[in-house]
Amino acid sequence: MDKLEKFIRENREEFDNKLPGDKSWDDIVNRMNRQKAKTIPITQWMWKAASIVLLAAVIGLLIERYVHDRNSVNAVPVNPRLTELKQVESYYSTLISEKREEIQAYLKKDPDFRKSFNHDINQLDSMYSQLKTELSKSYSEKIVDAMIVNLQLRIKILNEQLNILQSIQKAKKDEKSKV
Amino acid sequence: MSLRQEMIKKEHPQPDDTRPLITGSMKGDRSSQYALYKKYSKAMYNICYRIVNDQEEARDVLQETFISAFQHMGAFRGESSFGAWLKKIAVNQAINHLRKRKMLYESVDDIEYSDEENSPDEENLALNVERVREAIQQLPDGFRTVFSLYLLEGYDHSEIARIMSISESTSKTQYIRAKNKLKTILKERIS
Repeated sequence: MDKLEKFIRENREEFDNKLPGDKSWDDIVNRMNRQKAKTIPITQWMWKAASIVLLAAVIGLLIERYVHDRNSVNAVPVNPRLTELKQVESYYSTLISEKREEIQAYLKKDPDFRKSFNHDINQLDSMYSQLKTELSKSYSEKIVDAMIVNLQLRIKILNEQLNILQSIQKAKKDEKSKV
Repeated sequence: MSLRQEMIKKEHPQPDDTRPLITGSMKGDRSSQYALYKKYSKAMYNICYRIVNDQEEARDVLQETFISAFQHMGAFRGESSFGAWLKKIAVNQAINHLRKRKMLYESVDDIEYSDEENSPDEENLALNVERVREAIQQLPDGFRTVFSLYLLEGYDHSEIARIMSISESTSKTQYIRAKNKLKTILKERIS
């Protein structure tokens, strides 16, 4: 240790001669209060955001699971006949509803005729839904066949009805023009 | 026990009276915090001032030191004295300030080594505290920091190396150069 080092160490206390001033403590308190005031709303805000994110995640997962479950239920019967039936069903049902609408337009003018027509078609409708519930209980080729026949039959009936109605209309028109 | 270790011991007496103040401060009790501030602010302020070499900035660093200490009181495990723990925070904060300033102004003041290699003779070195104090503040940032950490704060070179992210040998050479530079400044002032 040389002279300078020795001198400094011996007089160490005297080297701390500066004072920070009275204001420093007040500044510390002010800064801490400010930080506190700042941090509280931030943390609250963060908690809110976090809970929203969590809630969204939970809902998302539930939806995903629900959809997944449904898909897997649908995916259980991999029978090609059933998929075929589904396709046939959707094809015919759009066709049937189209024809029905067309017929209803004619039938508005003829309430008696409408009654008997609706009766026939409704019977086939209820038969079809019966077949469908039976099929869901136990699969059978016969039921699938019967359902397809039912659909075809309804189309056939609707087409015939439509033809009849159109010819009646035509006859009425002709009569009018004759008179 | 060396004189150095004795000095360090004297500087950090095991503070039994600070224990309740520490627990109080941890709970956010202002009067405990103020008592700790009263006890340590002067020493910490001088440490900060010696490193940053500016009163305004030293005050800023001092405030940051105490705020940081109060906020992280839970990190104080009592492995060292509270004063030593607080000092470490102060030194780190001060060095950070110095780094920030260096980045801003790109001072290259610790490169002029030339005349610090040879130790000036100490024979007619008239020493008085005030003059040495002033001379220390004239040292370039790097020299001044290493010098005060070693000689005044009692850190060894491996600790200084860790604190300043430099190698231990750099710390040693910086210290010797700082000391020689200091002697040169003191001599200049006499003549």
